[in-house]
Amino acid sequence: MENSTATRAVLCLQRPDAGNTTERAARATGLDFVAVQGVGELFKALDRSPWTATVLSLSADHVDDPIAKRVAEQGTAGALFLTAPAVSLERALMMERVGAVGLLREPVDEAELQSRLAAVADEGPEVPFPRLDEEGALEGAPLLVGDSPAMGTLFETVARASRSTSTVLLTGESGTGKEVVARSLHWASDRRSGPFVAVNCAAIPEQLLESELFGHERGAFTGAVARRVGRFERAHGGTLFLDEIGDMSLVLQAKVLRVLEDRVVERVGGEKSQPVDVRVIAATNQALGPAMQEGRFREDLFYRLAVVELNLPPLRMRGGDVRRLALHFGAHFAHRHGKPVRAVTQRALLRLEDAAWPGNVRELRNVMDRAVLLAHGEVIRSADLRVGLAAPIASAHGGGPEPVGYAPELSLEEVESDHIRRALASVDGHMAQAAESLGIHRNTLARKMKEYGIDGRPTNGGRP
Amino acid sequence: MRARSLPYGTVMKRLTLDEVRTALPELDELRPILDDLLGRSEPDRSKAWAGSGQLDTVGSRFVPDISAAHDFAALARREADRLQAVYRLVGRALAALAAGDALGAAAALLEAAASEEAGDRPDRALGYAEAAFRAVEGDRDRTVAALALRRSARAARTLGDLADALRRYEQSHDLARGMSDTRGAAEAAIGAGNVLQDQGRWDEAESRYRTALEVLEPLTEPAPERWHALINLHIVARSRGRIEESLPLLREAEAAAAVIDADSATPFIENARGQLLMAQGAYDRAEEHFRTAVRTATHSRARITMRLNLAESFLARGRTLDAAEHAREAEREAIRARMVPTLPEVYRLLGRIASAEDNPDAFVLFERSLELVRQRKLPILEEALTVQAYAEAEALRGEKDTAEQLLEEARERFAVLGMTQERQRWADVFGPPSDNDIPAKGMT
Repeated sequence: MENSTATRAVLCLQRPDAGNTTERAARATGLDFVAVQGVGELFKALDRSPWTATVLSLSADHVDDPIAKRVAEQGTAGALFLTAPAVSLERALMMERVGAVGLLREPVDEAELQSRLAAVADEGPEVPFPRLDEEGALEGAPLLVGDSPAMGTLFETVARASRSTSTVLLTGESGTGKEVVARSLHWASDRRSGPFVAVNCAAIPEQLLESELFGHERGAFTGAVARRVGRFERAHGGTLFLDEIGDMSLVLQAKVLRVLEDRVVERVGGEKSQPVDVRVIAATNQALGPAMQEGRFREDLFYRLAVVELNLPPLRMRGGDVRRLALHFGAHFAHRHGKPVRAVTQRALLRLEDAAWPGNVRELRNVMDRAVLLAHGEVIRSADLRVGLAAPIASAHGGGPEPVGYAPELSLEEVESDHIRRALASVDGHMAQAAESLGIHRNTLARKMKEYGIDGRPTNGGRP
Repeated sequence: MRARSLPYGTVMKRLTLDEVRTALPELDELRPILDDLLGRSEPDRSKAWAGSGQLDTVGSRFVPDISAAHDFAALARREADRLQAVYRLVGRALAALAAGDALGAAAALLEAAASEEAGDRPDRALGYAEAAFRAVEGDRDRTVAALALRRSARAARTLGDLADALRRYEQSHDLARGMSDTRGAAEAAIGAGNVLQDQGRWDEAESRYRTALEVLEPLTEPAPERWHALINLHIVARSRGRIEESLPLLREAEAAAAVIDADSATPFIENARGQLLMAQGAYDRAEEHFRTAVRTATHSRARITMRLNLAESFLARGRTLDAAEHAREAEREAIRARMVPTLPEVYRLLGRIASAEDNPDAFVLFERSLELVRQRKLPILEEALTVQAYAEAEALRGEKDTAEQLLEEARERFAVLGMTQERQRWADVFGPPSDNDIPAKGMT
């Protein structure tokens, strides 16, 4: 499964006047060094064996650019570094195109090259992606990736549940793959040829959700300019997936319960009942027990939905699945983005395995999507991973830098007090340091803190 | 009636912005409260990685702890201060009028208009600018009357009354030119060009920008209107597919800006370069220019729009994750800067991203965009653009009837604005209609 890079050495094509910086940097990193003098010799060396890294010294006039492209295409260069007498946007774009990992200006800074070679040498062997058509998925089936014990249990339950027509309740943290499981259940059931219709109950405002679920007749309310078929009816003969059902209002819960019991729907503003043959799979990331105790979720609906209950394990409980999923997503996104990425280093995989994954598989998927795009060359390295930095997808969570400046509506007092709070927070409440960074005397700071009611203890630093 | 004190141990529920909106009447005077709560709101952390997160909007955000942190009295004081400032200007205007100083009255009223405009109240700004115009109606020097017309035209354009805005700009141009107010006449010509561009009347817009350049020709000192006119000419040429012709215009605009204040022009020039590259399909390079535009922009509104353009450059490459991240970043800045009028555009783009990811519930984002347009009484153009994007998303989803119905609604709205099919044809070539060419939108 794992490919180790055979030669722990740096191959270097450099102009005669380029000095021996590269050699010193390579040897200081513990790598062997091989210098070649011409393009012919270079490609012979690349043919002989794969290299840990290749350093190409390019001329200023871009005539060497096609060589860099050919070297990259050869597939044995390892991490490709380009050096040139000057750097420019054109050169950087070329570097991106050929998948080089670095563009360094000559004369090359030895310490920088050394640290970059060390990072490359330290990445461990490359682990290739699986071929997407060899992952064992049955044709057309949604792919549930994983072979951890937790997933083994899940597969068995999915297989059993798929044979019945009972409603299913999927529980698990956000991002654990409830919709994929729901699709798998649908695919494995007798309803496979029927539609699979999903609706997210938490995303749709209540007044819209009712007409989305049950449909409406023309003129039922302002804006109902045409008849609309609801999702229950659309799912006729197939499966309806009600995601995040724990967020549904009690009124709608009662209406859904009625459909489950009577197997008919009535469009909003309609008088005729429409029979529906739908298997319902519901999912929630909430604990419905407390919700029932607090009267936020109907007990009768819970028992109607949870005929079969399936709990999806969080990613942190799935052991080696992180690795399998990472490789699967790597292959998937390389194909989707048309990038020649084919492997991930051992060190990168270890980093992924060490992460906490609060966003579960969804977060890992995003990290690998990004990594494929960020990877220079054919291999994802640990530096390409934005673990823990992937921005959540919901409304304006943190992520990027703070916008510059304050809102113009804020009064000067608000801005000043906020800025003082930030300054204090940045130095853990240390007044002398804060006063220095603000450029005011400590006594002035103390006075202003009293004026604004700032207690000086470390805070979260942001505005309320 | 005294407020009831809460029993000991009462657990305060965290209210969402939607719950606050539903609980309060839709009154203009409550807008500062809602905006303030929005600016201080926090996202629902439980949605961070939920499936519904992609469709999340400001409505689900939690307002701050009302009992502990929120000072409604301070908010009221701030509003009172603002109103006091406007009233003071009104007083100054009346005093000037009584003293026979029509110009002084107009100056005070125009200052009040600017204050209202800064507070996102274009209807009130229009009222003050009109009053300023009336104050100097009989004055022999028509320069201030022309200025008042330009300010009222700008407010009318923001309100979506394009025909009225165009009429005011044309009148202002004639008055300013008659008074040899070169820069005023150029500004009015550019303003008229921008309105015509909104309407898709490209040839007429182009002629107005050329008029502005002609007017400025004899001027020896540098004037920002020159690069404004040039960049708008570039936009027109590019939007008509005349890429080769548009390039030197952009270079000229850059050179004209360099003479005066290169720094403030940089984000707009970079944004225009990005748009040009987008039109040529060079999305990677467009990204670089949009990034520079975002980095160098000093105003939140411009930065939000430029960031949305950056998101567009990712969406065009199918990189929906990056597109969504930048759109959310734009949303974040809009929230913190309380720039609610920019949110419909943010949600329109997020709707298109969700639609590109085959999310069957993407319509939620378009609905939110429309709701905000209606709540804030934003221009009909904003509504038309969202309805059109909504129609395209429904068509992608296979909802032919809904898509046709929405497209018809969009057409009706565009027609109200006097927009021709031309703009929609342009949209077919270069993607959904965009109002992201900032200089064209708000430079005058």
